[in-house]
Amino acid sequence: MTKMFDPHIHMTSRTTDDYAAMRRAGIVAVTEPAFWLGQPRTHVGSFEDYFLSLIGWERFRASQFGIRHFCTLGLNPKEANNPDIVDGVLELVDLYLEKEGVVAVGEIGYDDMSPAEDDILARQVEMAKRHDLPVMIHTPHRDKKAGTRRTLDLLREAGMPPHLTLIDHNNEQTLEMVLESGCWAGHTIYPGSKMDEPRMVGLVQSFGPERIMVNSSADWGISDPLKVPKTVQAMRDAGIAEEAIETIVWRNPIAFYAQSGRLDPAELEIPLPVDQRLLFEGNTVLRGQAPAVDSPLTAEADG
Amino acid sequence: MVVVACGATAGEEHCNPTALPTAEPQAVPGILNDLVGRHDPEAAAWLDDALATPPLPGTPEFMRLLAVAGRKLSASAQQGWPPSRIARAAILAASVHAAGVEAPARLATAFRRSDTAERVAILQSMMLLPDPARFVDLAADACRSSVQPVFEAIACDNRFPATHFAEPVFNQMVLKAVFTGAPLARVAGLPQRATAGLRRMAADFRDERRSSGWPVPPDLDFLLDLGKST
Repeated sequence: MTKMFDPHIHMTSRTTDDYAAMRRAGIVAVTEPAFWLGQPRTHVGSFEDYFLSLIGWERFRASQFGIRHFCTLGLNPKEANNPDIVDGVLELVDLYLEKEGVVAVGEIGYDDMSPAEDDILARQVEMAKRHDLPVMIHTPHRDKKAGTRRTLDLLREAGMPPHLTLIDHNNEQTLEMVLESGCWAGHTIYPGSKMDEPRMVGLVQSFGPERIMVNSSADWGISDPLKVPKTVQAMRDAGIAEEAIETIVWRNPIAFYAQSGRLDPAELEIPLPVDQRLLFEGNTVLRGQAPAVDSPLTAEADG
Repeated sequence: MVVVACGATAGEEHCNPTALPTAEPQAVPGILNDLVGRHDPEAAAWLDDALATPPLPGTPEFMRLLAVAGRKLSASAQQGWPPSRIARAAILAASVHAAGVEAPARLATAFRRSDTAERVAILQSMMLLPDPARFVDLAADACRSSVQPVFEAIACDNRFPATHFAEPVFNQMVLKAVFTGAPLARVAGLPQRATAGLRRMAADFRDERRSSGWPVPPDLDFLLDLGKST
């Protein structure tokens, strides 16, 4: 089975069923970018607990299903517009970026393209440079083409190296300029918006696999945590070479995030043993079930 | 009683209070409570008492009053604002006036502590508050809400954005309305605020829809046509 890495998925919003289904479909590693919760947080402390859950409980939860969990930390553009919290949150980002499993600053970027978003994006790019970390960039839904260009301009002016930059949520209007810039290009495969499997196949046929990634970005909205395996199937059905598919869904995410120095490509080749007898701060994912230890679930997935 | 002239909807029981002529800040709560009284005289008397010393926005007393006003007034089948929203507008007008220069910070706190219907009431009432331009940051922030009734409360049937938003904020709001299906026909003052910048954003979005193979929302054409005439 093809091993897959979903480089952008918000697992805190998903269920244990999702984890199990992802593992069965071949997803063995994920990166969860920090983002918002559907409604804005109004206190700095809410971010601290959120960051702690990304590097703590969620990481543990993923491991219980044989999935390695990495995260990116940052202040997302929507919440960057609240002047009451930004300074405090950026201090927390600075602090938590050093934790194990944090592989980039993100997702950062533009939403409304407001002056506050300019400021917070620029400050976090500086932070990434100071911490020697890559950046994971969200591109806006509205006014996308202009927003992507403005993002690339800001990154260039800030001296952010393109090989350390992943620009996400690309489409037919933005991919060319992102690849020309030398940055990595992510694509979010959604049911009904952003990008879908047939269009993604078309983009790969036009542009090839180099610096291309696909993700599900699955969150609390209508989304599908199996979009990476479904896109693999669509690419395979369209006759795209296995080597190219593996580059897109495995080698590229690893190559990009390994630049953080916090992710070991060799270790990723070894299946993560499942031991559901383990506890996290006294808590378990089990609700009275017998703990799976190297469960049939993983055996099947590795088959 | 201060004369209530309801502009286009004059003569209807529940006109749109934002169509009220400019009144002195201290007169606005009374005007609004008269409208409440037409629906429910008992509730209007209660509100009149409560507003004798209006609580400052965001305080526990204020939040309680705002919530109770919603429960006290039953829904009405009539067009226009529900009576509960008119009552809440009266509370807001009185309390914001009482808050003086502290009003923007206090109203932001009240907004944060409000539920969806209360947030809608705050946003829809903004043009009735004394010196509404002071609340532009709160209004712009409401445009970022993904709760559609909250977004529509500022974007639709509200003269605040066209009157007080800077161009980038106004344009983002209009594009978000197209994205979320809020009808542009309900964006007050849009024809006057249609600019080359907005037309460029609309055209880019149409290109994006076409290259994705998705249908172009009819409101995008409406927007591009608006641009042409300016």
